[in-house]
Amino acid sequence: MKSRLTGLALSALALSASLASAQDYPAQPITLVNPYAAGGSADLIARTLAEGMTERLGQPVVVENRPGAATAIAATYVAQSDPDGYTLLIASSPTHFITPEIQPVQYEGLADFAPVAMIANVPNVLVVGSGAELSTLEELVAKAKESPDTLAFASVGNGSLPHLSSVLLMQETDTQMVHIPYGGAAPAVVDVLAGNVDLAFLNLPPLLPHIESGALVPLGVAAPERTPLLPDVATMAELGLGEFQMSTWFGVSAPANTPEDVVAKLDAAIADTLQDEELRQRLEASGVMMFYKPTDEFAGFLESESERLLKLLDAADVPRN
Amino acid sequence: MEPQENTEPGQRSGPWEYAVAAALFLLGLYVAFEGANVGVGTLRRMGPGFLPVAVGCGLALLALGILFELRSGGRPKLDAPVRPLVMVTLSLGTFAATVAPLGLVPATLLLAFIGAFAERAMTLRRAGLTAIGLAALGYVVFILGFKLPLDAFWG
Amino acid sequence: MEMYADILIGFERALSFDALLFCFIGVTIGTFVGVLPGVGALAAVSLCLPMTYYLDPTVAMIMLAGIFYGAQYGSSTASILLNVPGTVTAAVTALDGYPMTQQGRAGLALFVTTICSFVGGSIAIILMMGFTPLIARAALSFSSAEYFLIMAFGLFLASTIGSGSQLKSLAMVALGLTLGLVGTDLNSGVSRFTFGQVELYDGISLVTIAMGLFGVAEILNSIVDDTSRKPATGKITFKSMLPSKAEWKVIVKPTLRGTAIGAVIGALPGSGATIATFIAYAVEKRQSKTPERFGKGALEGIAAPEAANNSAVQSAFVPTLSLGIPGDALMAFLLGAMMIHGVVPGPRFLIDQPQMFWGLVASFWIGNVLLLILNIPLIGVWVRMLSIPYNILFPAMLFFICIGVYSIEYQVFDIALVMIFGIVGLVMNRLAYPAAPLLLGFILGPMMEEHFKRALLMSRGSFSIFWERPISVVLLALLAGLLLLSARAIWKSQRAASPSSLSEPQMQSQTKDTQ
Repeated sequence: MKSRLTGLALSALALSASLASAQDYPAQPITLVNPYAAGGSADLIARTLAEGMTERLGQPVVVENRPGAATAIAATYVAQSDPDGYTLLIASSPTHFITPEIQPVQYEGLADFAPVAMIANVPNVLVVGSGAELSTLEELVAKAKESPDTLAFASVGNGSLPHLSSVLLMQETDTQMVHIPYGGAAPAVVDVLAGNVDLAFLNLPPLLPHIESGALVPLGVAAPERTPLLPDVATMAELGLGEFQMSTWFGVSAPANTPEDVVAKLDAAIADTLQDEELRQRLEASGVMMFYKPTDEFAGFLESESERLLKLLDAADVPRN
Repeated sequence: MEPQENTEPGQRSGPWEYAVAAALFLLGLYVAFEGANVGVGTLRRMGPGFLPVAVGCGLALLALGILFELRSGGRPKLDAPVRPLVMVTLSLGTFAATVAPLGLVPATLLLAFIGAFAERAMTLRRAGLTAIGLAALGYVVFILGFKLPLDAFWG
Repeated sequence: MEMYADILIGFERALSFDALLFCFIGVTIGTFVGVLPGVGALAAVSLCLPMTYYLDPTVAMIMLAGIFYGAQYGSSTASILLNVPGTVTAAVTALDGYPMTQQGRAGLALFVTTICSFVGGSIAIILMMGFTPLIARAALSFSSAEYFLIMAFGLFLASTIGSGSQLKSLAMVALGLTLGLVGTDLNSGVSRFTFGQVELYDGISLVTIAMGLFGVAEILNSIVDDTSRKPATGKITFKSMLPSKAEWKVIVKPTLRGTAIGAVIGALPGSGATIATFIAYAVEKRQSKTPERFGKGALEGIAAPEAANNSAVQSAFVPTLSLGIPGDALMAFLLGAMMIHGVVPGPRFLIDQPQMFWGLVASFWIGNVLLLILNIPLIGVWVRMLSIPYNILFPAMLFFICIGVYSIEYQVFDIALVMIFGIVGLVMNRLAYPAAPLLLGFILGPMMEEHFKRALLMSRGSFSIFWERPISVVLLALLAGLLLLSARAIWKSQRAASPSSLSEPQMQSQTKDTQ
């Protein structure tokens, strides 16, 4: 009984502490943990965002790269941090549902995080090598139908978005192709360029120079709308593949149970940052699209996205933990 | 291929030589066994267990070969440096345990202070000065210089 | 002819005041970062990136690249003087560099590595100038089948790196392969030997193995005989650093061979400097008439890998700049930095922005000259470090190892691993199991598995992919030739086995002290 009382007292104390902290939040520097290595699109997004948030919150927002274990290292770290709004995570589908589903990690997934806001997405583009002599999605599908398992697609690992995108394509078009996983986007691009692999859905930025030089042929954009960097390339939906959306999205999440007003403050700072026209242009030039969704919409998106991707994981036969 | 200078003909192999070779043999068997459990597949379509089985068997066979070779000579003793082993393990372990909760400076102080006593002739004064010097150096180089995302002190 | 005009413009850009200044700043930071064991160039480059936002893009890249290749110059210093390699390539240099220090020849070893680094780097830059488009195209014609064969070649050579019992060397290759199994299997997504530890999903970190087997094991080993160990500083006059005429002669050919190996392998995206360095060392040992000197302070044993390392580092810029394909994390970061500056490396880069491309390449060469000027006077400073009493030096080494390993991923687990590998390394050292074959098995195993499986996926299960392509045929022939050669060597040595074994016990007692 006594211990229960102290427990109550402690939680009351913790509650009042968090209430107090919400009033004058942020009172110390905020760490934005990035589960991806320095130098990539996620890093660019995180650093640009941190710059803007620092201005608006009056406290430094510091980006900390903690790459590794398919985002599990960073996600575990943030999930286990104090829910005080001083440790935030660059959220993505691997951190919130794919990795917890396929790897035996120390956190649950969605339930461990308080979504703050969606910030951006990087469209995935379906490309083939110029040597493949395919110039439309129709031709590709026809070839795949004609002889199953002759075409091969590259991915960046089992359960990665490039993998799931191709699985979705096979589902939608009723075709069979061979999956060749790579350790990262760079070696996958090399093999598509060299014609060792026929096709791949990959993030746009590393593909851009090769699309411009003509070495890679873009067949479709797996995003809700066309990207200004490739205005002539149709979306998969326009090509008749229904709701074919497979963008790599990035958001910001806090540990679960972060006080609501702290989340609201963060959301407001993010929303305001993303209004900046100069910042938008800077990101768009590198192939990143602004894609802001406030807290409640982001939370709803997470629910539906999780359901959709987990179904695809089943279809892709990815082994679970 | 080369003269086997390390087998020391004339010196009888000590228990450690046999123990290590036997440990390698057992490790090989374990790896092969675990590999067989996750699916070997075929040579054309290898499963995740193919390489573990191949490598494990190879390691076990090589360890058997070493056991055989040891009969013609090897190192008689291990000469383990007990004090350094204990103190260095303790010092690294303390650093690992304290760097996150206490911060870099206290962890460095403990690491260097404990580690210094790996040497028998170490004095308290010398160990303390070394520890303070290193902690200061670490603070300047890694926190101020490289701005590693580490706390210098707890909190 | 147009190209020569472009090269001239490049030099003009690289010799301008701001470019020179930031090149110098970059290589200086790089040198010091390289000397600190464990603090990688990546950390330094990411730290300096924000500082370059306000610079002209060419100057920014000149500085960031300078940190990168400058760090390669410094990386061998700690491994030669203290046997604490911060990078795997430095672990190779330590094989012969550290014995040289123990013999009081540290100054000479550092001088030779500086010179060989300069020669390797410079020649690779000249090759880059002449052949970038060609190299870029050649890199694309390497597919998984070829990569697999190159690595098989490397692994075969690996077994010859260690001295002593062949069986023990091979067992260490197998142990390295075993350690390489840990982590998630790329093809199936199945976790192997991770024991539920998140820290192990990406495999054991290479730096913990290198630092443990070499650094921690060396500390454990040296504390015992501290009283007998008087750090042999030698004379630190400029003259004692300079190689004699005979020594110059010894290093010329290994340096050139190392440079060639580094330039070719470094240009292949993804394999990079590590493999080039190992192969260069193994090739020297293999073709030497006195392979038994290797591992005991052979000059060729530091000249070839240093030249290969720096030449590979320079030629690794070829796929990065001309294809937009980064070979490793650091190149990926430099690529990202260029994009932040609004420059998109790739096939159009050389054509669209010749001034920047050639300015960068020219700055590499200038940077190498600056590194040479900077490093030679520093040798005296580094060698004096050896006169610090060991009981102050070793706690410092422990600290740098800890922080170096910890700063990779901020995993306490990695510190525990480095300790375990330290103990393993000590036992291996005492029982004459060589560490270098283990390292190479560990590096090559996972890559070989990945490429072998991928090659078979590409060929839909047909082995003919390994001999149907022109490059793979050449590689296969090389591999077969090497096998035949060593079979002949074994046959020969068995015929001449008895006389050579007479001198063994004596030699043994020497090596035991220097190990």
